[in-house]
Amino acid sequence: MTGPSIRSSAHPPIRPFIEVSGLTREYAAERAWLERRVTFRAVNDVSLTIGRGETLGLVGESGSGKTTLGRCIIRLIEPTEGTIHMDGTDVRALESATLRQFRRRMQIVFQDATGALNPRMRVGQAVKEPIEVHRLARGADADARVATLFQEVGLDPSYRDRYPHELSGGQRQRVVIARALSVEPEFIVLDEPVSALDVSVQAQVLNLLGDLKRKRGLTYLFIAHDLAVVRHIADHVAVMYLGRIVETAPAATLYGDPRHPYTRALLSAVPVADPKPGRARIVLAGDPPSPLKPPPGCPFHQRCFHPKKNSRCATERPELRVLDGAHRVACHFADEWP
Amino acid sequence: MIADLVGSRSVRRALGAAGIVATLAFSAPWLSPYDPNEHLDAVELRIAGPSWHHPLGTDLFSRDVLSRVLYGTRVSLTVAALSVLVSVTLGTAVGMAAWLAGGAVDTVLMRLVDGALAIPRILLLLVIAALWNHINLAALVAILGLTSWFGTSRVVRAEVLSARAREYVAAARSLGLSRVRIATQHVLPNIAGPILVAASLGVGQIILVEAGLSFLGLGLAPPTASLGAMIQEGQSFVYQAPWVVVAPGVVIVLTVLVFSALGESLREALDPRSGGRPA
Repeated sequence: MTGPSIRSSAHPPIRPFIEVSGLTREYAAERAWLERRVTFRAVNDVSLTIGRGETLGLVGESGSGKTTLGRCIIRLIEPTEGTIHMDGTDVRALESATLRQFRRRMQIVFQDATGALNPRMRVGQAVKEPIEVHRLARGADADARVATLFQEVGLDPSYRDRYPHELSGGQRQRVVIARALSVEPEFIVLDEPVSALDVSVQAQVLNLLGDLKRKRGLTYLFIAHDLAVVRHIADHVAVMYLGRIVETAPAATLYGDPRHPYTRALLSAVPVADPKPGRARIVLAGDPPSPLKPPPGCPFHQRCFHPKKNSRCATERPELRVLDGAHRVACHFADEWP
Repeated sequence: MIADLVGSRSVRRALGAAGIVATLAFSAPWLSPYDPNEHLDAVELRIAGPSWHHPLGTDLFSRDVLSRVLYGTRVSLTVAALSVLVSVTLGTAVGMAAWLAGGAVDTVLMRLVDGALAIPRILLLLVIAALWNHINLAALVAILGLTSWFGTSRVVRAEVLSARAREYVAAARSLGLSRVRIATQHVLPNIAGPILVAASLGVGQIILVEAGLSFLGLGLAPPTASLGAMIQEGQSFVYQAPWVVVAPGVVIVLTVLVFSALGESLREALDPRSGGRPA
């Protein structure tokens, strides 16, 4: 497993491979007839970078906007504002025909492999179709590629003639991974790729993703809802809360020295193999606030347990600020933990 | 999907019944004891009751009712099948186009369809048929087909809307497939079921509409045997010779019933909530 990168992705010597800046996605809320149009921001002014060959773990609870963010970056969802660059290309500026070609370079693996596969298409065809559409190979050559891809993701090539419902959940996710690899991408958004799988299968698929990354030099955005899953695969981790990144750091720093109270709470929920006595479990009160009515000040202040928390938290929203190198936190009292 | 459909007992039964009706109708030239348009004996066989030689009797012009019913069913089924082909193709095309074009085109198309649906179909047909001088089979198919796709296009569009929210459509987009390819390879195969149901129910409906038109004298030109025209011809002496009206009437009812049952059983077999195996 690659350890934390030596290069800091916040201040790279050259332009980072993936560079997202000020990304915002607004949605119109449901409204009754003649009611004022209300919008909310599922993703709110998010900036991040990922170096080539690195993995950024993106963690947050349901509704934090992490899936929307992932899909905006590969333009499955159109962002409302912000810029996205991949390898120097302005992804948001691509017109539909160019974008279709460019999609080869950025792929996505979905959480729900069952839903991500056309139920009426044999899985071999599902993997072969993009190969032929992008003219990477055709006929027997394309079939040979499909067989190689199946082997690469640990599936017997004889499964190619099956329909998705004839496979297990883990096998389906392997097909989805093979399909994403079929167009030889450089960047893959992994949208909770193992959350829907049995625990025993989760480890296998995680290992597969790690192997593929090393073998093919892939860059990952790994989305997860808990910090445990990304621990062994991420070089950097970003924690999202209510559409914003609240803390981001190299993996070792984030796990070893978390500074945002929300990150601390998430970490305390991670099961450990050897629990020491005195390890306090932080239980957050209440639910995350509605993104329709984000609280004034720090979006987390109502659930915050920081001992230094004061009235400033309820009025002034803390910006994401550099704490130390690549470690950035959005908390007024990030360096005032007891 | 096909396997699931054939696996359903009610679908098999309905399919069998529809097969029998169709076989009888299309074997008319071999099954009919007489030429359906031949005036056999204007004196002896004028509205003669059922007999050994004429199981369903004869009509006012001494034509054999059984032969005319067989040929009439063939005409009605042909018209219905071709009209449904036209209407389902058009409906699917418009429904898909509305989605592909999206935005304003979608809104305009669907409002037009809503408008068309608001006009009673028989009224629309009467106007068109009355303006048309000589209605042959092709014209009838065109009239019926062109006026019955509105409902189908709504169904298709609704199905497309639900299909496109599926993750596999997002996956296809992320793989850089074109909209047309996504529509034909990924969306269409997944909405084939509801289209099949609409087609099957449509056959029954068109048979009724065609019979209605013929009854009003706006169908195919005489002496072509059609079920509706036979009822119209027989109505003036229904008390003396009820068989002339009853025979085509019963056939209409049975045929419509069979195709409605087929549509319903298909709907049931395709509905994952109906307890059958997932489609």
